[in-house]
Amino acid sequence: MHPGNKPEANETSKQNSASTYPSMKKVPEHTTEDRAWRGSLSSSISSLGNQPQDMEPLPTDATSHGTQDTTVDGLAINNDDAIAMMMSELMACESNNDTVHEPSLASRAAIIESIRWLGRHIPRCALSQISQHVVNLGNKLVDNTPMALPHVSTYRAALLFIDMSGFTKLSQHLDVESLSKVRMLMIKQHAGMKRSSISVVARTFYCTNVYFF
Amino acid sequence: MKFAGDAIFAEWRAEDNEKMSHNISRQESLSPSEKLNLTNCVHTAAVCGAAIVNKCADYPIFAESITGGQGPQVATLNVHCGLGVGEMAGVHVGNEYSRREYLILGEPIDQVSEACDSAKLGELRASAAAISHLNKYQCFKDQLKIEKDAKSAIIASRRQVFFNKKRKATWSMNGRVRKPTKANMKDTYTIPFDQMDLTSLKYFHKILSFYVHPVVVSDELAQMYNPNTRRDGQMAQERHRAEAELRSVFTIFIKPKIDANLSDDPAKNDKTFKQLNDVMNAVTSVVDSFRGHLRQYIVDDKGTFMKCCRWCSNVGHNSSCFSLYLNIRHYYCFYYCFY
Repeated sequence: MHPGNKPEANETSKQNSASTYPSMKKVPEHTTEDRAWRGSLSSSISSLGNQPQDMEPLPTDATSHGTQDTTVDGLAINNDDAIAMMMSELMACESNNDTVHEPSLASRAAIIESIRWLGRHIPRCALSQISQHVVNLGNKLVDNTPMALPHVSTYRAALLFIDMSGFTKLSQHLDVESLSKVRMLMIKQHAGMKRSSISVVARTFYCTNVYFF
Repeated sequence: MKFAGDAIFAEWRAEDNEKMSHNISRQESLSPSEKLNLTNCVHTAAVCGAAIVNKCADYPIFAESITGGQGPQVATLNVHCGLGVGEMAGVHVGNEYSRREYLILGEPIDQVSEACDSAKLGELRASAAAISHLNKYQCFKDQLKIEKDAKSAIIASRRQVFFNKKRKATWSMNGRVRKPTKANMKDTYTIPFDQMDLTSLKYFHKILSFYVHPVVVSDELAQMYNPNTRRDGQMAQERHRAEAELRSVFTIFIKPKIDANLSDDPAKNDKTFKQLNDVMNAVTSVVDSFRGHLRQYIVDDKGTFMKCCRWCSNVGHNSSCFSLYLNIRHYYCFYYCFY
């Protein structure tokens, strides 16, 4: 017995399919355009060389092949088609997981790494204030509530000023050519010296902030 | 040829009068007596300065030999330090779309500047306010004194320290420099990334980029979108940065004639902060229109300075007919220095 002859069973099948696969939707009726599109699709599939030649074209009229079992995305299909569509949708969901979440995590990791690098160029107190401001904004970011500038914080502190000398004198005693040869070396060694000072200040004395001028 | 960036400000904030948001974990783990009060801050800064002049004074610079080894000594770098203490303010200035700066201002900046100018190479001098704090750990006969007509006194040199490096608090290193360890490294601020979604992270990244040098930001953005080159591009990145700093540029020093000192009047301070913000935004907008950028914004004892530069790698040094008209409000006056 054709399922179309049992309206109750057909209706139950539709409900089950719709509840199991949320993407399957019921539509009241198909338009002429849908049927024409399905007809042209089936004919194009039949025209493929590796396709079986005895494939019957999908009906262009609902009454010629019985009634629809399930409707997916507005198209009437039978149970086999429903299973095939379900499988394809499951596979599409899996592929979507790969294509959507992985770039999201990757971009998040890249942004965090970039923030960490940029944060090395900003005083720690300023970094903490900015990050707290962003955290406090939370969902209000859509309102684009900026930090009111100028943003001021006052505090009591001990301040140590470390001035290095010798660079200007060195640059004045060397000609341009010699200076160009050794300037990279100077910067390298100067950076080494600065790092040395910074390491003394920041790591062994629990310094709050370091500013460069 | 001038090298900028050869000076360091290091500050120790007192923990007994403010909630330090970035160091709450350490703050909560300490008893009230262990928290770093202002006197402890001054003492720690003094010990730090003494270690620096001991370690970094008369720092030799050696040339590189043909074989890549250490060649003859070509120069000697040196340090001198100043120590101050008092009320300070940290100010974020700028805008929401292009550039920001974090400024510090207050009386201690004037103190350290005077002390550092008075200090000879390899010396550490402290202001009167700092010495009054240091004397709390000195016995009566070893009290530090400031000479007549002087605003500061020497407290350490290359080989000698004139104050007591040990103090009563248990938290300090008691005069000894701690070696950098993983435990010390943990005492750094941790950004709460877990509390930020992707939108917040992007906003945070954008705001941070406003504070950082444009060359660093452009390098970082290029690497962020092509992460495979991150490790391989480390050397290239360093080279690009050095080249960016050394290429031919026109540099402009701008000195707004404003009084940027803190006062006891909050209304006057607010006016000062707003004025600094206006100066920052006005100069940024004008310099941007000339394809230059603001490199430094400093508030120190010599006043308020802004250092801008305009990239001109294709322009020879002789064609220095570069003019810049700053359409700023009438009450700001600027000095221009062209190199």
